[in-house]
Amino acid sequence: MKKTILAAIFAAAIAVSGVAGFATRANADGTGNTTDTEFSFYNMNSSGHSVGREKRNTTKVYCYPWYGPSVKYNVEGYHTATNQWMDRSNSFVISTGTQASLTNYVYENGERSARLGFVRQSYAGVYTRGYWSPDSSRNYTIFR
Amino acid sequence: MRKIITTVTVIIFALAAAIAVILIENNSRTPMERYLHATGAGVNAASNTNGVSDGIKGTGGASPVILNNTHTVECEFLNYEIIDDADIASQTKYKGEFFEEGILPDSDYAVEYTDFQAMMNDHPEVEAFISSNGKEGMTEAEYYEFLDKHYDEYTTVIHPESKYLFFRCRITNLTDEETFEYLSSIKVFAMCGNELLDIAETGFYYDGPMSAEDGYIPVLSLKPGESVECVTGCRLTDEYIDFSKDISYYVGFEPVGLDNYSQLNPALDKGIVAVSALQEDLTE
Repeated sequence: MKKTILAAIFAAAIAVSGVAGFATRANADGTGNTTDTEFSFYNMNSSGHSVGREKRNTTKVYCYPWYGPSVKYNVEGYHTATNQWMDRSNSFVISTGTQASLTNYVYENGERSARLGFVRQSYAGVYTRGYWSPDSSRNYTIFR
Repeated sequence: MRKIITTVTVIIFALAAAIAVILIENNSRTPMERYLHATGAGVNAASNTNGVSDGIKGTGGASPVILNNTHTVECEFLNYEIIDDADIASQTKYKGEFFEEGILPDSDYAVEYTDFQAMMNDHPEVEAFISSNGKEGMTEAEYYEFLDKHYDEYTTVIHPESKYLFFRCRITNLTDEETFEYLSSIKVFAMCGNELLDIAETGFYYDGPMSAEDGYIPVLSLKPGESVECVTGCRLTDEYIDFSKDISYYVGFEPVGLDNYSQLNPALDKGIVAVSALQEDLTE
């Protein structure tokens, strides 16, 4: 039942995103990776990260946690020369329900994969869930 | 003698009853359930967000099969094709409407390339700003003012040598609930020996059904047990790949919990297959 409700909410979000300026594939300059994908973080873990995604330009990372406890986020870029994920933004606590645009320097550092890093703020046996995209076609609440 | 006959009769009846139970139980399962029982995969979604995926490869048939990280979706690779950028605009197999921008890519497409490394080498204050994530060297306003003045000096228009990889897949929902799968979660990893050179998400080309009517969002929605056959593709460029070298391509789902890509081991990770192991599509 819960998954059905979540699926319905997700479907509605997808339907809305194509109209209301959410990240979609066809963005203003035609090159950004602005498709929203899901992320989740289990708040019994102290930290975690999303999978990496293509970073195609210098725009801000879009992050929209829609469910669960607040988490601290940052943006990481994959440095192929050293095979390491590097911190490419400051860290921000983003409240659930906030559409955030995260200033980052992944692309400027020559890195082409970006991911979200998570740090737990409150211990709980629940997931924080949301959507994110490595590039943006517009800015929301800017975090610097 | 009578006892022996009785004992044998009881045994025969017991065997017959056991066979009958097995037949009835088997026929009560759906074909999908029988397949999953045979392969050992779970019917319900498994929560695996903190572990390493262990997608199962198909044990029969010529098409490699992998599972996504939550074991809710199976992807069977039917064939693949690689097309050079010189040929992409003239080919007719992959329609323009299914590419990311809704048209066939231009064989000579151009992109702006900004050499941030040269910019940082020439301007230490910019290097300090970028490497400190905006905390040192200059203010953010000064940084954007700098870009306004000097961006063009470090920006050129180039045509990146590109290769387009297409994969014909059969994607199946293994659960008893509706599920969604992002085509971008199927990735291509370009490697030279053990060195990872680049990663590209597929969905740059996609000709399957879409979950939303508005916008072009490559999300596949599947009913319980539903299978969809589609082509998903990506573009790789020479920004980080020297195509003159011996490049190996691997395709699949990025393992969950992978701390860095140097841990990627296509020989062992069952969620990824070598493109060279797939059937090549030689049709026109």
